[in-house]
Amino acid sequence: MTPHDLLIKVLDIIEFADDKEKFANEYFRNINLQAVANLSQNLSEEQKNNFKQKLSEISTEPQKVGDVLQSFFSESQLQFETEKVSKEMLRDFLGQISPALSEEQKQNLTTFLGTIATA
Amino acid sequence: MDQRFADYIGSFAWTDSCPVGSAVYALKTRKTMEPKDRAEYIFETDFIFPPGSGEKNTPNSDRPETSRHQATGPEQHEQPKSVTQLANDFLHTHSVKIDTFAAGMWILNGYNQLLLSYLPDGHTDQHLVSLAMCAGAAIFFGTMARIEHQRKQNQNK
Repeated sequence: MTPHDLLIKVLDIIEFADDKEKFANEYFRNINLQAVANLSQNLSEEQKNNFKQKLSEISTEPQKVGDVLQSFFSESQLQFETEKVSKEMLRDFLGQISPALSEEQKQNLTTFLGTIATA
Repeated sequence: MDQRFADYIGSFAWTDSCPVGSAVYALKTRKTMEPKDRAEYIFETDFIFPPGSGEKNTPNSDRPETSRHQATGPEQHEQPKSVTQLANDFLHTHSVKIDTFAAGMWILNGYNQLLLSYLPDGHTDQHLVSLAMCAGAAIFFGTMARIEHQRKQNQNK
């Protein structure tokens, strides 16, 4: 199950009444942006300058963005940071909505997420 | 909650110097709350809903009382928000926070969409991200279960 599908299912369980796709798109936009921002923060000044230069060069060729990213961040760095932010976001999200959840919804969430975690 | 910890936190609840975060300030008017209940409320507010989660009771917070954790206390007469409202509040708060953060990273200015257009499909193992999300949920539910267990233990004392 993709993260997007997982979040849509969570929104189903909690009976989210607005546009779930729109919510999920912004939710994951935030995750990806925060992951890159977190990693960028750790670059040296020289690396930052290079990164910015490379991005400006490829702004007309978006298909090359992957190459630029890979030249500054390893796959494992991006993976780790995205996982970290994803974990924190869902924890915080559940903390925010929990006061409005019924016991049945909480139980359904626990069961569903437990099923995914052990799949 | 461990009684010694409850006593320790509760002892600070009426002072201006606040070692457990600004949530205490919001509690200073809750004079009807028992020390143990105040301590438990602070514990949950500061440790279960950490800074940045959108849940913290800061003195200057303009977030409505009803969007915070519904703990015990006298200020519970406002209309509770629906889960949809709370979810939208969360997303809005995070969007503003992350946009501000990204804007502070000058390197990302103007290139955010460029980077984001690539990342979701091509750069991470989506299954591992899903598992990470489940881990985040497990942390939340595990913590809530521990608090509930501790609360029952305290009631039985």
